Amino acid sequence: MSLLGQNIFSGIMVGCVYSVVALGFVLIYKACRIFNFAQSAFMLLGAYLAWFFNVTLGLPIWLSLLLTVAIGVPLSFGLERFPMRSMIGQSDFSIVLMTLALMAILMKVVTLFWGGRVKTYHSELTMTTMTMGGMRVSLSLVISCLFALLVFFGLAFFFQRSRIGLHMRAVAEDQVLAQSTGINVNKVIAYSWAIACVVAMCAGVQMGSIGSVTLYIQDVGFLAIIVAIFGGLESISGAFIAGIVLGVVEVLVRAYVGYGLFTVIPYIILLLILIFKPYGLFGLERIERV
Amino acid sequence: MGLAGNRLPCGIKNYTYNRDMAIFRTKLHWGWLIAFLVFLLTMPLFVSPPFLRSVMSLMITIVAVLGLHIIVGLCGQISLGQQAFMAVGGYAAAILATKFGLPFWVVVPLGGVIASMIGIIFGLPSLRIKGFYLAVSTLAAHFLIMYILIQWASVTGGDNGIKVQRPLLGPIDFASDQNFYYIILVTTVLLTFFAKNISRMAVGRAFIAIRDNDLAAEIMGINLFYYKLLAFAISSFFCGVAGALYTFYITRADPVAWPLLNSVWQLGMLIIGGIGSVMGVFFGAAFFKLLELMAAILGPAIVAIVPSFQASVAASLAEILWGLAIVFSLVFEPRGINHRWEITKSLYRVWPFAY
Repeated sequence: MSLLGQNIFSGIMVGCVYSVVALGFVLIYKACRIFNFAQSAFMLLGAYLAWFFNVTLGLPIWLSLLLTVAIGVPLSFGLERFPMRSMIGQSDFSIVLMTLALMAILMKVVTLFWGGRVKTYHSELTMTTMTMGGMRVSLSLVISCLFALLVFFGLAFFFQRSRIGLHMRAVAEDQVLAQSTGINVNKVIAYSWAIACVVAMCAGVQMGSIGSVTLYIQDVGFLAIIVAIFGGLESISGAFIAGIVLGVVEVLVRAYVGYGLFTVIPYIILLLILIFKPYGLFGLERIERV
Repeated sequence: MGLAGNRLPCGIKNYTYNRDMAIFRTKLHWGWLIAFLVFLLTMPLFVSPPFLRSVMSLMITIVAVLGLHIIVGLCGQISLGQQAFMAVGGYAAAILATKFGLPFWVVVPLGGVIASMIGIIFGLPSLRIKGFYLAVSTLAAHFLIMYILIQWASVTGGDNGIKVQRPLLGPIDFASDQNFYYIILVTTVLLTFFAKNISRMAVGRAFIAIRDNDLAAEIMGINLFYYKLLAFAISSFFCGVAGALYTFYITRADPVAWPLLNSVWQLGMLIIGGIGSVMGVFFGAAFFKLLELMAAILGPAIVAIVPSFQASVAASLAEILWGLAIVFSLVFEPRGINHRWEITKSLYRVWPFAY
């Protein structure tokens, strides 16, 4: 396969990780109109917790991932209960500041416990490469991609078929109406937080195993914000498509334009989107009344 | 002016409009003001040098947060680009001072002006978007500006930054902290006066109308295009001046001195102090400084108990405390310290009668 093809293929794989994190934003935003900047800190926390279990305690990587998730679920339930529930319906400024403060706290807790140094997992996965259609790709990237597909189709199935998924869609449509049909809105929102948090933590571990565990994992979280807005904050398929587009753009820019330039290209894209199509590709345009 | 602000002590009446509108209405008010200014002017004589440096950085922060107060507190536009605008002001001042040899007294205001131009450019998206979207677009502004400042190494010195020298004025050398303190003090007092008066002018009332409801404000005849960009310009001017002062305070235009999180903390100061009031800016900034000093004392104690924590525990601890303060403030007292202060003041004024 040609070099271009290989680049596009690996771009799609990187993009899958972005999509997964962006899905977390979309889920929470759909459930309770909160734009959760802390999502990027969940990634960071997940990556470092898994490193703690994997290297400090010497557990295998899959068990570390499970333990990380086991911490993430109660953590996200707790965060939803204490500061975030009282934020529903508050001004945008309060919500933005609250999630930014949570992001900063989680980030600083990580720095306090583990410092800012670069770490790597002890696992064969990160070393192993495999050949797919004449290309060598690292096994952890393939697993990440499969995980993203799994999450995406899992969520699609979840929203179409499962009871709590249907409840989530009802809550996203109209909270008051959903409550009056007997849906426990608080429970639904708590589940959205848990799913978003777990998904972000897993994505953090993926980023850690593709590259290394650093504080820069958080930057991927910021990229996911761009992905979520690009796709439209209300749209799950939008987030998925936008993530893959951004991943391909990233790899192509790195390969053909300049390596360092990629750190700003997404933000330039973001500014252009916000100026010309603020509600994203598949988002709902809101009409405001005075 | 809030309701509590109009409540006067027993027996004091305002007979003229001017007296009613004055910031300092009574002789006691003026007495407090003069006493406070004298205290600030004599401060370098009796405090320790490290404490003086804390006060100086606090004042620079206050200047920056006053800018934030205008854009967020008065005009209601969320901005996360503060640090980038400060960096622009700092770098502009440093480049003008070293490459063009302009004097300090010119480059600091010019730094503010250049920052306000950049602020206008990145304020443009605010005409179409607001809320989360605006927060994210100013976040993008932060990353873009910082990227350019670091990559444009031929002008900005890249990772090394630019070294600058504190100014001379005739025989007075401002190189020492004791003397440079007065420059910062005078700037802070002037800009505080400016910020206070903006909210009392037609411009400030237009900003508040936009904050409360921008569509309604537009229907009332307020030109959103003009006033939103004006708010960005004024706010970035404050940030630019603060950034320029900070550059001369640390005597270096430093690419790592402007982390994104500082923008978050400055928003936090605004909310903890009490959003929408100049007094709140002072309360918020001072509160954050207090927490920082507290963390500096607590930090070593914690390291003694848990040795595995890093040496940088004081810095992380301060920021964790700030974050928690923001969380608790938003949940339990979103109107901030200033609101409590107003309640206390009016209690004192009407005492011993409840009405």
